[in-house]
Amino acid sequence: MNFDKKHIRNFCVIAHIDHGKSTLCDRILEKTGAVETRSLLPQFLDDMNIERERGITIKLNAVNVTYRAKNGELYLFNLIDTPGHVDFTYEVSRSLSACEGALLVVDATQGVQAQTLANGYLAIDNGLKIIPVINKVDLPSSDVERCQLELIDTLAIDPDKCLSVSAKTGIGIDELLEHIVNDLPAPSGDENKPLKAIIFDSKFDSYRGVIILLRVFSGTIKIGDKIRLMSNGKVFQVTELGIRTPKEQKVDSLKAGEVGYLCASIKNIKEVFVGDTITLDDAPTSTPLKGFRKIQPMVYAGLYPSDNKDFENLHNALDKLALNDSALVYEPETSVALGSGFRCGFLGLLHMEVIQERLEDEYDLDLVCTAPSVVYEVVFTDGRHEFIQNPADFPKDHTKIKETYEPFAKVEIMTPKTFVGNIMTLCQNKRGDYQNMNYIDETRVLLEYKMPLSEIVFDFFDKLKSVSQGYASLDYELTGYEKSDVERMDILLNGEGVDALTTVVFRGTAYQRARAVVDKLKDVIPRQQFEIPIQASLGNKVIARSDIKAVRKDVLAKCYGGDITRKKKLLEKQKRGKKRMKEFGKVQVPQEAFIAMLTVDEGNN
Amino acid sequence: MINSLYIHIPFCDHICAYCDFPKQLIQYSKTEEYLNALIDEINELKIPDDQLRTIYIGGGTPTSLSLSQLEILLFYLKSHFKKLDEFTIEANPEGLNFEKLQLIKQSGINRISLGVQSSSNRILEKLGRHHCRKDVVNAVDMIKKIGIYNFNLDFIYGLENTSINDVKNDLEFALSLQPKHLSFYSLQIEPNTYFYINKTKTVSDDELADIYAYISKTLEENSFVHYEISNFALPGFESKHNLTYWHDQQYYAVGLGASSYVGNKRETNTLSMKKYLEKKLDKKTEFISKKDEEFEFIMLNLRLKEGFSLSEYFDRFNIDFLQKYRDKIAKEKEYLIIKNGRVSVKPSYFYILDTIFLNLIS
Repeated sequence: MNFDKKHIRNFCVIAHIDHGKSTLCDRILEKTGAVETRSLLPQFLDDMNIERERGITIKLNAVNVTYRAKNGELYLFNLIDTPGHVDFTYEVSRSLSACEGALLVVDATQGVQAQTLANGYLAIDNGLKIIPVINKVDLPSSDVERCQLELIDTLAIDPDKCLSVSAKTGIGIDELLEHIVNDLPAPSGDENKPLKAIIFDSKFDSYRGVIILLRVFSGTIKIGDKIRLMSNGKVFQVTELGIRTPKEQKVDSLKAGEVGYLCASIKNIKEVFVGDTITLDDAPTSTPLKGFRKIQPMVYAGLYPSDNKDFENLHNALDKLALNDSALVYEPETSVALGSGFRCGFLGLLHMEVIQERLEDEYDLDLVCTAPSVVYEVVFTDGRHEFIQNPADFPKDHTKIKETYEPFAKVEIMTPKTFVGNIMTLCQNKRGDYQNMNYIDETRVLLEYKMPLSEIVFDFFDKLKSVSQGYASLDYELTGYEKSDVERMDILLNGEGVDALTTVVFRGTAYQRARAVVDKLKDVIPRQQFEIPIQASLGNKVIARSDIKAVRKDVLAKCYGGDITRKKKLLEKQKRGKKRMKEFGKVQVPQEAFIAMLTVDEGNN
Repeated sequence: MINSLYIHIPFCDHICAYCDFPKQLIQYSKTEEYLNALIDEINELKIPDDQLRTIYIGGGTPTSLSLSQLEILLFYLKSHFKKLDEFTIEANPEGLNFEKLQLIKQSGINRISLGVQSSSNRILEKLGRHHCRKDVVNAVDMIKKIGIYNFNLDFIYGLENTSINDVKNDLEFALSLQPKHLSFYSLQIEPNTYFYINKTKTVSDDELADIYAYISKTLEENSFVHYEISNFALPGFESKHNLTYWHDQQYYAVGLGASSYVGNKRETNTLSMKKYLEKKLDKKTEFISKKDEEFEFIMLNLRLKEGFSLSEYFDRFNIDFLQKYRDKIAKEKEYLIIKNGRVSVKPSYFYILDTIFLNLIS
């Protein structure tokens, strides 16, 4: 199959979570005959179980399909599905940069939502032509007119351009395919110029090494070419090129304007960065494509097997996951409370949850995950300074500390103006430093704050969604380390410190945090035979305390012949629950306690 | 050797608010057919005449059977099982009359368990019972008059909007009737009961625990031994039949929905009256592995004040209990009594037995 550029359309599908993006992709694949209806698992592009379960796309995916248009000509569609969460904003922006057009999907029953705006703006910023698609019009509660009004208000989209479809029933899909041909621009780019291609995703295959998904902007890439990755200068020889229909189909070359995959015996995925530019080693381009940034873990947390025997299994599982996930970093650590495990770095909280769930589902591990933390910098009185990933390593004796620093970020929040007040209060409570406010149009405002990353990664995103009824969207960018008055807070259960519950807190809100944490732990840790004091301490000073009362009644009143089976089942179920608990001294702590550390509500926002 | 037989009579004159036992209203039932099927089921067990030591007729309400129906069953049992030490029938205060009691006495029944539940007419009504305090007094008078002194009274405590004072009245009432055995059950709201559907609650766990401690203290002061979680007896009057369960020994069981433990199987009969009358017992079988048996042995024996004997445990499982659970025992030592070759839970911690048991075996 050879297509000239005029017959290629590169586009992605963007939407708020659950607005039917993946279903729309399925329908396009089905209509273009790429996938037979009966072999179509719902949401074909979502490879991972967890994606199907949560209804969100985490990894990018791309397919090439052909479409016979009404004008009789055959077109090649390169369709890129994008992830839908703030943790992966960067990946979304890279996949958008590989396209000329975007289908912006809006749920007709829900209207424009935060991610509609965030992704819509990202697409506009990347210079993409947008086809607005109002989905789920088959539902009785759909309101197409409202969606049109919201789209014109927020993104200045012409209501006449909006297509009404139902990805579920297939209404309007034929028209949509014609609009893709007629409205979206064909790719440009000179295939005779030096090679410039962007990496927008990668994954690992045990036989072929790293498989790179790429979009060629100029030049041509052929099998046998020596390619150079511009961010690190690494050189590899291309062993395989191809497109996915969605089955892989090998090709001899990829030219300017085309999307496909590449293998070059790359053994280590950490050498391949999303957003990096590929060029030819012997005829390189002088300027890489704009917008590349190296992804760095923002959040660290300890992952421990519930059963210490599983340490090696966890190690192997992390090795395997990391093959496909260049953002995941990890190294072994030990905790007095939890035994042997790994300190892992993640892009954000969702990324962390996804990894944890995959480890539990795909590798059948029982895990305990500690509260996530950012990396603090501590300068000691003797002049030494240290970067601290694990709060348990944070020095206890603050007389030895001269200064402490923590990472800050520039935060941009786009919101309908109704919620500005709520959001400003929230930002203030999260130690946000107000920078700027701009009216984008009559209804929408862009707020800019400087804020410690530690506040963002905890629960800022969830809180933001709740105070803005889901409308506000968030973007943040690290600005560097700044001096900040932080201190180590220890938690004592029954008088004994539990290192896995240690956190680093801002001194100014330490008391509130301490109170919230001990109260939360009191709710999460089940009553046991004896009363258990929970204390939070700064240095050696206890600043908050809450007591778990002793269990008073826990026995079945009647247990005769006919009750034994039921009674046994009940106890066996409780026994399995106990297995998932960690013991500290005499106190049994469920895993929820470690996660509870990040869902504490200080009641001030 | 299996020494115990449980017989289930699934009929009642009315349905109580808390009851989740297999039962149906007697006026709509094919009672005679049921008794025939029941006797056939016992016959098919081919139990030698001198094997059984205890029989327990429970329900439902066995005394809701008419005199002649009761006679069919009791005549059969009396003529077949000659060596019984303990022969119990459950009774409701309003279902007893002198004729039935005479029959009961003549049939060799030597123990009656009376469903009293409360001394307060207000609470009895809430529980959906159809007797009042006075009916209990009358029933106990008749029981004594007929010459049965080994009787038990069942009580339930902890219904919402009741207090420890209600329990004090219950205790006073119970003791005045001079029973040999008392059962005090904390109310449990079981699925598919009237209470469950109406979202009826119990008082809080803390109140229940206080009430429990009060019951135990009061009855011990009156010479009762708190020999099982919910059971109290004057020395020598512990229920032999029920000890079979708590000692994790085997037993036969017949009747609708009844569960037996024979060999390495626990079998539960069908809950469908239609099937039962067609003699399709449709037994649900649960195989008890040695591991299950060990779990059940500890679970059941720890309900007893006397706990279990280490040598019996060793004989049965070929395991040294103290060795196997050494670390756990060390952690739970505050709650356990290990002496004279026996393991038991301190009575002051009976009420959190599940927690202790789970810590021990997890």
